Amino acid sequence: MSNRPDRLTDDVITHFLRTRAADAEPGLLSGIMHAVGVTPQDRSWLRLRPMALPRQALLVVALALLLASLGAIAIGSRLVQPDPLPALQEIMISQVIDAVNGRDVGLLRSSFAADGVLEFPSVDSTSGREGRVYMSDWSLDVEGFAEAWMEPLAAWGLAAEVGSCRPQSESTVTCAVVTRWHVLQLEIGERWTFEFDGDRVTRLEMVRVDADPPNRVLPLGLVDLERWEAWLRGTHPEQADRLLPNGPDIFGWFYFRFAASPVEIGASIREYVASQR
Amino acid sequence: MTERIAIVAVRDEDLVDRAACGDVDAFETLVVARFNRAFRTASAILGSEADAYDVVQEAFVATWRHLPKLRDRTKFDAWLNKMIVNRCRDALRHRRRSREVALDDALNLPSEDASDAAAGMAALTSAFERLSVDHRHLLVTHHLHRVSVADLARELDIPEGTTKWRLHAARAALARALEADR
Repeated sequence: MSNRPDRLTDDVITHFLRTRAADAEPGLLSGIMHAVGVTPQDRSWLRLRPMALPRQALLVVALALLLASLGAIAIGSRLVQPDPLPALQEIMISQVIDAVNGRDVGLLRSSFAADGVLEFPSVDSTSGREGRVYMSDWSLDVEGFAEAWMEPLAAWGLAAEVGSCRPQSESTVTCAVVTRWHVLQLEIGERWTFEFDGDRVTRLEMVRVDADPPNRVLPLGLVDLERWEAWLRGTHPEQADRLLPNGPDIFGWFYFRFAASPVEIGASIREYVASQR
Repeated sequence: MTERIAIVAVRDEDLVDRAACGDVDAFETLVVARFNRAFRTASAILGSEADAYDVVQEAFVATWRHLPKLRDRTKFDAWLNKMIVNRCRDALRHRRRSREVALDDALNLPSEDASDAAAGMAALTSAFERLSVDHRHLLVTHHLHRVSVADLARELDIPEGTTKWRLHAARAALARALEADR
């Protein structure tokens, strides 16, 4: 067996992963169990096992509950922490992300209810491009829509990564999502809101909220992409005329007008990034 | 053989049930059977033993904490995997490309004789680290732990065909990343 990855065979991948994986030290088990020993489980009141408590303890508990209730009323519901995300919703969100990243139309459709929709309001608070609506309430059962949506994602090499998710209600979850468009070297912060009906997503709304994430992995924010556009017009005007759209909004352009030579654009952006170093 | 597998599965479900009711010993039995594989998964995904240690510990503690809310006890392993993968994702978000072990040390290769192999493995490392956490997890589970597609589908709680497709996509992504680095 050759260990060189000239051909990506099963053996090469297995050998590589074996060199990368390490066995756990015995201390890990005791570390886990020590932490478990001091960590209470989340459970509903109904599942608590009965405990024999002395009257004084019950009085203290009752008093504490009374004070907590008064405090909650006084401070307001804003400070009440939301419940952790239900496991099923967490799995479905992960499945949608998998479908997007894997360009898996079947998986995407199966994650949504029959009348599920994607919404692209493309409104944000930071990039100065509010109000442009490109698509809205597109039903996934429209023939060819999901496939058409996947094409620009593939062309521009989108990888979406979910950050923290918070339930807004029993059926609505909002997640911070970083979208990385690898061909464009571009990274944007978005907010994706999932609405559920049982175990299926009925609506997914994607809103851009940070056009220039400060701690991004990829070199360009949205503003930088426009700088590249200006750079291209200045340094390679003929190529710019051929590749760039007439309109000013590069975001809308790259997202939906995907036919414009992603390979050539990707190479040009890499050249631009190198020139800025 | 089939009966034996069924018995083991039932025992695991019983353990999960007992652990969900607060039985620390039952949970420890579940952990003992899984923590080394979990660590190997996390260390392969992350390329860092220190990060893998934190990830695995946090994942098991979170599993313990939320276990009473797991309604379908047969989904314990899928749930645990999800915890590990999510925490790997968090860990990667908080660091970029820090590697604690030099490649030559990790591969235990003399630098001159095996420079070609080392360069090849370095390219593979670079390509692998460009993959999403989900793709890394699929490749690790299938190729490192030798989990079949059918079992992988059960672990991920998704159809077998979807699993096969995702595995293919992960491998294609690795090949593309490798090609892009050349």
